[in-house]
Amino acid sequence: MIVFKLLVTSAIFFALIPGHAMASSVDYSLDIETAFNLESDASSKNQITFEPEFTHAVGSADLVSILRFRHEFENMLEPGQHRQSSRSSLTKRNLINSHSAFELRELYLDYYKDDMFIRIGKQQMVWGEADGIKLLDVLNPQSFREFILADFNDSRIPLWSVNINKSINDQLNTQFIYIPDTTYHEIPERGSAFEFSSPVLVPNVPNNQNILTFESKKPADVVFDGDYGARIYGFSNGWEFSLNYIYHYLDTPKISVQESLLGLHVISTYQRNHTIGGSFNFAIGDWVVRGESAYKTNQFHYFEDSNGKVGSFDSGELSLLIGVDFQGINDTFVSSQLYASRINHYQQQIIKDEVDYQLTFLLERKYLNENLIAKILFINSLNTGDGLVQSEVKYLESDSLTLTMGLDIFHGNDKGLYGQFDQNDRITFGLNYSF
Amino acid sequence: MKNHFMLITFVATFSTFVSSQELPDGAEIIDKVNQIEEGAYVTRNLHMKLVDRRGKVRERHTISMRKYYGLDKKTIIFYITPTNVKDTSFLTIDYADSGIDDDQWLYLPAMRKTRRISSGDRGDYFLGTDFTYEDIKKEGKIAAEDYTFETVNATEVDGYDVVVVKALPKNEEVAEELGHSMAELYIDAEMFVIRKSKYWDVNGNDLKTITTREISLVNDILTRHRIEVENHKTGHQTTFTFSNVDYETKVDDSIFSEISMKRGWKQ
Repeated sequence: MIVFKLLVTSAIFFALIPGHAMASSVDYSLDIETAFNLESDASSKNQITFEPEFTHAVGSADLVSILRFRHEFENMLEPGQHRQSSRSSLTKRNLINSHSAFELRELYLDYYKDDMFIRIGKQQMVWGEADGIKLLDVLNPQSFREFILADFNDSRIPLWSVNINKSINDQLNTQFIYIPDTTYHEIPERGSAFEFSSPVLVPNVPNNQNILTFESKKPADVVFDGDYGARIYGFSNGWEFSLNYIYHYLDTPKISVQESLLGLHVISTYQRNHTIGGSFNFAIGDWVVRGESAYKTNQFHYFEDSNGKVGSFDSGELSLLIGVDFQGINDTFVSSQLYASRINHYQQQIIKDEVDYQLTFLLERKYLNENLIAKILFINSLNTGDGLVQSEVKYLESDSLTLTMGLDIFHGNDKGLYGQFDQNDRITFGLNYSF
Repeated sequence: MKNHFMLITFVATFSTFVSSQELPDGAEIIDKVNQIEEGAYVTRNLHMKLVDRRGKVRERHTISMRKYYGLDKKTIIFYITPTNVKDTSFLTIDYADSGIDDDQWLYLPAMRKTRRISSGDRGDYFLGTDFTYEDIKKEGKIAAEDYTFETVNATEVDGYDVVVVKALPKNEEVAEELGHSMAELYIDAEMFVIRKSKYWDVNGNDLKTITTREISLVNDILTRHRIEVENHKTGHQTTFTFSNVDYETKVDDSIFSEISMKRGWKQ
């Protein structure tokens, strides 16, 4: 990682050699967000986030840096001194105290020449056509401090990466990705507001059991443990398409629990995997149709046997998604997606169903020349019946000030992916000031 | 006295009869409008000023490029300021064949990916402005296949002689798609540029008025520099001001791409 950091720093230094014309811009964004739990009426989130973004242009290159300072008054989302064990040393946040953190959010150099575009540094990369459901969007891990309620731009964790895009012709492009950064999903720790409890996500370990040891085996070698990906994508005859491949570690750690007379030994490991897939979209009239598929060769699934012993089973998993967007009504956007996944070589003890279906529905309407936007999103697991309803009203009071109000409602079985947070329904208020 | 009145009336009527006989055919005028040279490519800054009925102002600075590929054209608009829309971009491929839907994409920085959007409803308003997608696409020209045209009379707009052409959508379906049931086009009698256009909605009510205030030659190409729209239904106004218009510097094909949209506009 140190060598990689030196390479990035050198590239940035070279681009900034004195004598080149330089142009800079600075933008600032301040967010104040508050949430109240509808069950307890207590404040569940009270945070302020400040993000300055700097852009320096030097010849053919551009240097972009985004910093983040965050202070969480209630300390419900990440209580205590979190270890950041899922982050590599260069991606860890600087913890000022248990409530405040400073972070170099992104730092990358863009170089663009002829038919090639290279972005090197700490960045976000997004693949896929799906909204809110991740099939191919696995390049960057995510912070689940608010489960899936936060915008992906906010929850996605930027990684030190090399991202090379090259045009083959006016219809076809290629992309190559190397991610030496061994940072993975940030799973909320015990006691957090959105701590996972669904057996689909974590083994069922009773709270009264004594955890003797916790061992995390996290990859660390930047070459042998790096992620490598490639994509061919293009546009032809009204169709947009993409073929994707990535050799990577699954971002969710596999938790193994070994019981002894005195208590439990918990081991967390990360699993290597190949993900192969593709996506497409086309537009016809007022409609856009989107599709995406991904096959993971080495996914793990938790099971619980008749004696109550928990474990995990590895097998391939195929995921498919089809989505339709409709814009035939003025100032209105309607979108729906059907997602299905199938576990290979299924065994009955696996907690997750062999075939799992989810449905999403989004309705967005704009008013006052797009200064007032109202939207509602439904996400439902068709297998277990649990789900999430997320609604938001956003008002652009001025070019600098945006006000938001929202409702997040979970429902269903508390063992389900969404139902596990049935007690976390909340009303949210937000203010964004940018300049 | 009565004889004088009758004489004046006769002369006025005769003059009017002669004038209407001299007015060119509506379709012929539209043809001249659509033949105005636009240049094979153009780069320009665009300042958008949006004012609501209460006088609240929003401003956007953008830079746009447009390039013709035969009769088809590609246009990309990058938002530069303010911060809350910075790096948003819009790409459209407009096909000359009216039977082929245009292809459009929107890049929202918060999503970190481009989104394919449908182009079916040409009468939808463009990104919060009072211009429709059709207005943006046509850039002062008219889709002749959508209308029947009739020359109405001659008058003046901002001191320029204009011919007024009434444009009626050919059928209800086209009217619904465009969002208006009738348009009056005030076309400069010498330059054949549309100086003003008035629109009525599908129910026959006042809809909006578009006025081009500044027109001049840039690189020998007639260029509109300032266009004002007043939406009579909402009381909202939009002003587009074009500057740094450059028809000479070649626009690279690579600017019209997903990569370009994700990168954003960098000087």
